Amino acid sequence: MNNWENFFNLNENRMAPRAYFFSYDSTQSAATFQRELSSRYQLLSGQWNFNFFTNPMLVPDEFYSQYMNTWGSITVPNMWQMEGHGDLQYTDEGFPFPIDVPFVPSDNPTGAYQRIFTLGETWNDKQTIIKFDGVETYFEVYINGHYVGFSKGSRLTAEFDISEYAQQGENLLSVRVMQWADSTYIEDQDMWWTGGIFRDVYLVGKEPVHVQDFTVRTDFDDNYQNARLSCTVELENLSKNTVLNHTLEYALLDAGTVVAQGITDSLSFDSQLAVNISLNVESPVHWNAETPYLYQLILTHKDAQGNTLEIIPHRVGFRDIKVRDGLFYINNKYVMLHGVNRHDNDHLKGRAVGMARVEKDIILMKQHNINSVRTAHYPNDPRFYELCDIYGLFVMGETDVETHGFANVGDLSRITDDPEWEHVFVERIERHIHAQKNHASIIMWSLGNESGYGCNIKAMYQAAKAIDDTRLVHYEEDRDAEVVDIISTMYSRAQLMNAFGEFPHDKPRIICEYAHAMGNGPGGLTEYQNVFYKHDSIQGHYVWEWCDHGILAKDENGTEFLKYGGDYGDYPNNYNFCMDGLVYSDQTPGPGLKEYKQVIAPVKIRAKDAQNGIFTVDNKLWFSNLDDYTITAEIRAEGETLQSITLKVKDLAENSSRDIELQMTQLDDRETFINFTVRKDSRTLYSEVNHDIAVYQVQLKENTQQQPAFTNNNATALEIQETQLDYLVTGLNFSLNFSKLNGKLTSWTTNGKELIASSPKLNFFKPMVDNHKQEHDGLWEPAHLQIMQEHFRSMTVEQVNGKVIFTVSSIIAPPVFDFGMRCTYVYEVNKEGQLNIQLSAEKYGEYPHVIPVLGLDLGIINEFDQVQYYGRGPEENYQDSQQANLIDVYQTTVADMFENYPFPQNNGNRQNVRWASLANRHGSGLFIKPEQEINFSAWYYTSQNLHQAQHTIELAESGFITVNLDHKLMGLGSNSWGSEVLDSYRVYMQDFQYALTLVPFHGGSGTAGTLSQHTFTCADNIEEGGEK
Amino acid sequence: MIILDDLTQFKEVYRDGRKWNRCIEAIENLEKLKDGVMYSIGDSLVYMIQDGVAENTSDFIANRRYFDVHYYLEGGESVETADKDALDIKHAYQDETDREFLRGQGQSQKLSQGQVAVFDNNKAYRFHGDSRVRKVVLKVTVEDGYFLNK
Repeated sequence: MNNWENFFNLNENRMAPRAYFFSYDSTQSAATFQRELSSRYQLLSGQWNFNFFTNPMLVPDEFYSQYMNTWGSITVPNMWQMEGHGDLQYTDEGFPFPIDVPFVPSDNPTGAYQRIFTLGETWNDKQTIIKFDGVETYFEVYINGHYVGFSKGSRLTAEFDISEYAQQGENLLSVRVMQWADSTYIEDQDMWWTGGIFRDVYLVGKEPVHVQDFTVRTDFDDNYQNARLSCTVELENLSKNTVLNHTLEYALLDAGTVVAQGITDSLSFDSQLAVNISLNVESPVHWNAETPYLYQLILTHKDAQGNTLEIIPHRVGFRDIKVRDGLFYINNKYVMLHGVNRHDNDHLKGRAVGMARVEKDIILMKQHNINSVRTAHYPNDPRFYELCDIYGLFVMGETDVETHGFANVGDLSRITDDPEWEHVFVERIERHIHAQKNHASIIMWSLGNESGYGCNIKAMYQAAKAIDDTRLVHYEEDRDAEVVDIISTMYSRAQLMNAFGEFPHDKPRIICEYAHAMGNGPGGLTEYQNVFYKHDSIQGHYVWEWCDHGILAKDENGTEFLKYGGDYGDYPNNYNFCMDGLVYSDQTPGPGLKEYKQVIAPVKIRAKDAQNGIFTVDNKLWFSNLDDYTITAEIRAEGETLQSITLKVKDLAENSSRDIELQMTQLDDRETFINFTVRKDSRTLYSEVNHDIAVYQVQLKENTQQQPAFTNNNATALEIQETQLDYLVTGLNFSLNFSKLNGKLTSWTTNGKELIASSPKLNFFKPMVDNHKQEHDGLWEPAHLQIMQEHFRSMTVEQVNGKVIFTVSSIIAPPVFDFGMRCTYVYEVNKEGQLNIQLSAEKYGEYPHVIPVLGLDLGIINEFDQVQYYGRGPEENYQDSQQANLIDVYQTTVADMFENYPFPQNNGNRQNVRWASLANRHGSGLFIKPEQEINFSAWYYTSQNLHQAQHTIELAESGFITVNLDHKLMGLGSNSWGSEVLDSYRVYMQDFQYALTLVPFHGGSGTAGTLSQHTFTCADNIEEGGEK
Repeated sequence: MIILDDLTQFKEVYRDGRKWNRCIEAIENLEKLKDGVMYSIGDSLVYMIQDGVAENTSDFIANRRYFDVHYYLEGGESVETADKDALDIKHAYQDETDREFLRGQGQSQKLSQGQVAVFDNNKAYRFHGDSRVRKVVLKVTVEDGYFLNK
């Protein structure tokens, strides 16, 4: 049987798992923690000799013992698909080949890797270890023609002792890698199927007598004042002689100063010795995600003559996690984990993420108030955890287990509950814990993801606890918390999380995935967070997911776009389901991340008695007061700052609240808000000084102005010209044409310039957002809502008080069915030049389901691309995703209002719009004032194009600006794989009416603001004053 | 409210659809549960065992996105039912809880051991708390058909 199809053989000659550390020659180099400066370390990453084969049998025999001069090259680390070899495929969970455990395709894509490495004299008489931090999926190692061993476990470190085969001078390393193995059945995560050496490969040299491993733990006294640092050091002797009188010195340093130290001497042993050392530390600074304070433990190993053999540095954070009365406490403090699920994916190199990208991810998380990360769904590069220690993130360390594909045959637990597979599962948590056990940042282990439940999960739990009883163990599909320490679910709706909170388990609860962040969204984060804050027992939440998995590509014109499932001819595939991150594929934060930052912000401000300037500040930090934060309160009246107040809230303990009272200035008759900005004062590793944490807004008063009616002293009486097909209404320097064919406004000229590119049209459909796909596929498309037709029914013309009023009726309805909307447009043309439009519709027939919108769109000329609006901004916002945006006056452009999702969809909405203008660069344009707040967006694309395009390169500018002036727009939800839209944010096909005014203007940039101070007589006076 | 005589009848009537299958899955998992603790099957069904005398409340409770299914293991109790439209709102609907509280009068009926009651979201309910019951309370999504859930 092939080794790669035999799950009873997990490896051959792979070394026992152990912690990730390096030995140094001097304390100076040790203090750098740079592995490149360690005693014997040689990075083998770079350009390797490579050939790709469609079957492992095709690899020639010479490969193992000869350098293949005719082969090409490949970058290590990388996935071979990213360099043109083999095939990319994306499935969420389905295995890309027939399930036939433990067998895999005989045509098993195979990469044959070679490189020459050179060992100098310093490597003589040393143990030489080769270390692979990540290889997908199965690989064999050969040195100078000798078989060394094989390993499985793609994202688990593998080490081999190659001392026997390596020599001084040049050595040939050959590695045969196969994409599929029996282990594929347990590595079925929601991501691209790829193959290759995707993390670093390096050599480590060890003295014959050396530290083989060490395990650190910290324990506080009952008062959490003092602590004990314990460390078990495993010494190993590979020489033939008994070790005599070795010494282990250990010192704990705080910023270079020794705070505790000790020596264990007279160490004598034959092959192995475990040395337990302990240091009592007075009043250590605790490590936590808010203050990731690290000490340095220096282990110095000396021989009997006092010669230093090795110096090992390790960063120590004093931290514990304990469960008490159904809650977990970190350092004896209640904590809530605000997290994300993070995959490894780079838009250029797939799973071969570089450390610069990894570090930027961590910085972005910290900048966005995130305090925890789940390594979904496998261990990361060992340096990831070091960065989490340094930057401060609580880590759920998940191991490389997922058998999700068995769900497709209704047997998710097939191998999870098969005792024959126990060693496979158990080995994966053991290797993971041993490798990462010394990181302060890791507070819990996770046994894997979506693998059903069964005996092997229980065995994993026991194995985890046997190695490490200091951390909690998580596994989501132990739904009843039979064994795990934390009860967990995924995608449970906010209402159901509330039910969990009202009837809590006696183990703490988290939701390890929720708020599926696919495309535009997620919506509903606020309601989730309200529930989390309401119930102490819900102590963690992890948004799915951190980043899109798109792969950057170029079309034939060189235009860049992002590819996803199916774009490589891969089938079956889960299409764009991998484009579901808060961050775009290139690490640009999306609107969802900004909303999440706001919703989880650790400083909250809310009105208590706003009229009297009393507000409540909540400190939702778990370990820190707010002394390093500054609040700015700005009183804003329709774009103008009336007052700015800066304050600090000193000595407010963690997880507590205090009222503040502001002395506010006298307000005038304009609408006025008080806007709070919370900033962190100090520079940190991840942020500059005065880093923005959150914003809040409270309305202080509505507009109480008596606004004058809009007038134009030069206005002349309106004239109507009727022809066979049209009515033409003419006033001073303007004309409007209404078609008798369909009742549409087909032309509007001012000073000879045409404004209208497509007629105003009531609209009940939007380009589908990913989070509405289920409604789209299940409800809307079957009912043909995406192709609703408008049919003209009648048109009347009246002249009333010098105005010309067109009343147009039509139906807008889908073909085939007998339901729809009976619509009425009332256009009131005024001699001053403005057009008042009253819109209404009555539902007929049965359609009880939600719809995307009750709204209006029209096309205006392309040059009106300069936008000003008074509404919620500055970025896109929706009913259920609006916390990061405040109501104010904003200047922007049509281009900047567009959120260019890699899978095109509805975007760019601004809510609560009191007025808006679109103008050219000379200050001529169209002013819009609704009678009540509306939703406003503007695109260079038609709605149809945005709906149909599947990639950004399929967007084609229409030649005009589509302006959306919507009455009601449905919330986003996250039901691409999460919560449907909440009840309050749903829109139904129902009767409605709203009104707005359009006014052409030519007065420059300030005109819109001036126009907004007027009222515009509206058509609802028709009945009162009407005369024909 | 739809009242079924027993679990067998419930299984026969509601045999199609993932959410109904999950109700059965939940009921068949009762031996693993602790009383008074809410558990889940998938992402859109939660359930628990309630044992005791229900609180006698003056308010009716109504839901919109999830409806209750109660399976009576022991005992019986009275529940009062009224059309939502016939009641006055006391506390407006909240998305976080999927609850609204209403006031008024309805009609009472008795639910007893073995029965399965499917609560209708067009109506509101209040329990009289007149005797001890042991029952399974399931909260089931109103979504159906096109709705994918885990």
